[in-house]
Amino acid sequence: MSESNYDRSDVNRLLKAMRHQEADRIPHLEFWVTSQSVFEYVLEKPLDYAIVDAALGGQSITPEDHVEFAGRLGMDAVVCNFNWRPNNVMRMASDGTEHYVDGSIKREADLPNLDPPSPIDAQLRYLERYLKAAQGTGVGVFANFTSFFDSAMLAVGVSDSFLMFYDNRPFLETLMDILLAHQEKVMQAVCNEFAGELAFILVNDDIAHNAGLMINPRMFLEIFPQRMKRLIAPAKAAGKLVAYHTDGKMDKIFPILDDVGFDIVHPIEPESNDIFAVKQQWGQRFALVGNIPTVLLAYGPVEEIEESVKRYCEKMGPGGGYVLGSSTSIMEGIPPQNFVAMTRAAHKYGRYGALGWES
Amino acid sequence: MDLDTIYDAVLDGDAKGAAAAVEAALAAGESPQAILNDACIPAMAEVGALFEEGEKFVPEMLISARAMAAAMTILRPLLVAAGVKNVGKVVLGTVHGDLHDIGKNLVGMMLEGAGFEVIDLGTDVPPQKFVDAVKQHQPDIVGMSALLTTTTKSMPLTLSALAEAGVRDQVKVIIGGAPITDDFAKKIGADGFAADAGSAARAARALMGLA
Repeated sequence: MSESNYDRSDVNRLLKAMRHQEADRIPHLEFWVTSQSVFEYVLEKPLDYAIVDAALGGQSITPEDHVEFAGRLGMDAVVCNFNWRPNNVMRMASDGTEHYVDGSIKREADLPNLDPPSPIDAQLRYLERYLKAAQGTGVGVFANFTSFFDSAMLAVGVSDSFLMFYDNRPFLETLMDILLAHQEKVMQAVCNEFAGELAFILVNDDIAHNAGLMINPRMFLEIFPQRMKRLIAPAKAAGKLVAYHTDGKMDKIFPILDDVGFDIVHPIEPESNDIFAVKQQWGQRFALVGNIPTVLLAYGPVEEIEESVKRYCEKMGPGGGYVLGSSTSIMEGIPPQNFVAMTRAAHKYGRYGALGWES
Repeated sequence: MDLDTIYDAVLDGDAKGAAAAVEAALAAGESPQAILNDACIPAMAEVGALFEEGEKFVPEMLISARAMAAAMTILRPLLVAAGVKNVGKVVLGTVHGDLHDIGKNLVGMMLEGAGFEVIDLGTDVPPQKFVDAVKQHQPDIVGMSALLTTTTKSMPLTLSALAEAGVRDQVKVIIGGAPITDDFAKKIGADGFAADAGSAARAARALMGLA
């Protein structure tokens, strides 16, 4: 696809936008691509390994293929995952896809049975492989950390954990603290060794649904901010931009993320947020990533995708602070052609000086 | 023990308190129907309204539903014996290819709390299973849930299957789930859309022509 500088990956373009400045064009970034067919379409070759959502414990794409994928798209960075999501119970749906259905940590006595995390050194060496693959390509690398909050809920089982907030909150918080203590160590190690080479840091969580926070704000404020500040402290101390991912309605969550110290928020789900209004209210404080509806990407048509990207470029681009991307992730079932159409449209309509115009 | 005590126990999610208050009210001569209609259902309606207003959250909704269930364990046999009918019947399921059930379960609880009988088909429900359930159970409403963008395509397929089987006109169809919008519901020809579990019971009552 590469034809001009506008089509090439440039991590500095991404960082400039995340610092609320205008670069040559609006960057494009997908935090997660979990579709084998999208990878194979863009790479123009079959992969000899299966792609499964890494956050669910699966094999993600190799660093080398991932960087090449980003380079071919002119995407400005790729993710290296530092996941610890233990004891998720998965089941295969009738269409052959695997999904989370429950957790297996139901009481204190189950805590010794937590699935162990990957050794920290092995994770650091994997990041090193990413950084080596990205060298000289213009593609940046960012480190993604699973959080203590939703990882604890998933380990217990989401429905059971909701009840646990009332029935046995100390157990739930003990589990969160175990997860946090480990991820803090990983974050510190990553920042100690690689802070200067990473584009930014991401925390991948889920604290909300389409009506707002999952649990009542009083309880949430007792549980979340202090722990989250601890998790991201090494990244903040290293001067890194820190991004936060949560699904759901964000209006009452932005002040909490502001207090914690996040710089970037993803994906501002379109089903429950008006990103254009969010930019007006919070655009000076947070850089925003994503929001192109995956329903649109899944069903098209291509003309509508292009029109939508053009509108985002016109309305979200001025002043920087916006990174174009999908409203969740690029999952199996999204036609590769639609995904590529979104990317091409960003290159075409996202050029500063000609926003919304084909030049 | 009065109906207010039962109402408060359900609203506060106090299952033991709800069961004790129901037992006490029955012992004092209150009818099961009055306990259901004047205490339990209004309490759950208030839970739904407070959820929609952002005053209650999913855990509170779940513990209220648990309290309602504790009350219903005592009341159901008495209501059946007295020949009391539900306000309507709903066949509910997560669509084909999707195993997510939390939203669907919450909607089911809120519908039961609003006085509906709920036939839960579970998750990953193929279109034909919805058709078979409509033929077997003769529901007033079919509810479909999807969490994944890519499984929303099963919703129009299920609507087509209901039409092809000649049962589409017998039921109202309501849909919901994280990627679902009112526009999508209209586009595929569903009769209703609920943004969350709190509004689902209200939407179902509206589809039934109830206040």
